[in-house]
Amino acid sequence: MSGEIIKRKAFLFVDDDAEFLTSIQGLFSEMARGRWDVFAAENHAQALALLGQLRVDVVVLDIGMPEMDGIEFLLLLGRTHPGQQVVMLTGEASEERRKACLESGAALFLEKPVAPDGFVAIFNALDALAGAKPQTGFRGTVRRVGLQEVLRLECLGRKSSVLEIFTGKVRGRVFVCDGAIVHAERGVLQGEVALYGLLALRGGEFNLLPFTEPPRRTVQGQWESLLMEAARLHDEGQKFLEPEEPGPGAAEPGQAAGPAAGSLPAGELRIEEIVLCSGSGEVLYEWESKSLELRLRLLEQIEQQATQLNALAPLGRFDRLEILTAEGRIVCQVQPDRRLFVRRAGNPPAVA
Amino acid sequence: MKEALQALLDRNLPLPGLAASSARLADRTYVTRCYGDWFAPAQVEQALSRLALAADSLGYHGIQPVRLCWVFEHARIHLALRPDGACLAVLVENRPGTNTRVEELLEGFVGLPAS
Repeated sequence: MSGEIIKRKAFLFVDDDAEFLTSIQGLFSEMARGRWDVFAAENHAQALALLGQLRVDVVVLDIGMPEMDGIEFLLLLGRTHPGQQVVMLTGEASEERRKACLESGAALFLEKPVAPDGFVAIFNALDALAGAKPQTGFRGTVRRVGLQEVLRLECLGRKSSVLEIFTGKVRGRVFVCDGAIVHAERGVLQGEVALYGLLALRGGEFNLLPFTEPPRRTVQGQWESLLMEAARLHDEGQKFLEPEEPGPGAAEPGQAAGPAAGSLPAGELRIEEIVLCSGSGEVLYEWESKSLELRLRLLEQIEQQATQLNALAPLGRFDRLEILTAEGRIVCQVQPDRRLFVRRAGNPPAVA
Repeated sequence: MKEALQALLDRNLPLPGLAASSARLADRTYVTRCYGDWFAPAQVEQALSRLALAADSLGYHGIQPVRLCWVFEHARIHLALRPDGACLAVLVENRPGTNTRVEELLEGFVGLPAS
């Protein structure tokens, strides 16, 4: 007698096919010989109720389910149960589905077996996954843990890692080597611009993975300075959320500064796009921009138009153009050392 | 609409720091008023024409403005656009205490009944 206590592994199968659930519960319980607890749910609601009561090692999800399909439920679990291992099990596998599931956080993507041997393979895969030590690194949601905090901890600990960040629209990676941020990429953007854009994300998920050498190193400088600059640039954009904007010859306190100012309740404001570049047009910070090129061209065009207006009368140095639209407000600031585009959504103005 | 506009301007102007106002109506006629010697009417109308063109050009960038405010060191130029193509520019000195009344004027202009 070894005295070793064997920990039972717990699995939750979610499938709208009740017959399949009954079969798999019976089959896998028998194969596990008492080492597995197999739970079953026919939809996401039942599954969530079960997950509220017990902890399982692996959730096995069917993809094709009514109301909320497996991929949607996988995404939901990523938010409600971060770190929960999820395996997708489907009778209709495709490369697209495989990619979507793995990118959404599934640990494995498996096909429903059509022969008895297949069930053995599935059993072994699930058994191995449930028994595996947690992967190096961790995952979390951006709202719960700030990316800045994660990076700060990695850098302070002089660690080497890759922070992988993903939201519905954005994917990016930050490479940390021996406590230094050495590379960042976000879509086609690389370097500091990509880093600042990623650090500005207000939601999403991240994985902290073991370090791999990036395709090239695009970020230099001390991590403290980089994080401070990211915060500064973010504040730069955020200040346009304020109802008053002091510019040259600023309005007095409490007075509306622009066409829309004061007409939009603060609680209903939302910044939707920011582009900040240097006076020479080099992009320093970009967030959610649909077309960087178009925005840069717009800022250039506004500068030219302001120069033309100034030629008609001595108006002084141009500061900004504030644009009110039915959807919200846009501020285009053009100064010698920087150009800034901020688009903000808010209450539509009362337009006759 | 011209009469209604004149009445609106009479009710609201002048206001502190106002340098000029100019409206271009849907029939391309102008109603321009200048205060002080900062601008001549022809200058203001030329500026309005440029401002309207600049507002139009925003459409290329996917922006449909209803109001604009060009902020310079010494002055602000407010522009209100109506769906019928009429527009009103108000040039004010960049000093405190003018924006609220300018807002009222611009809102009044946008709310004028079409002729």
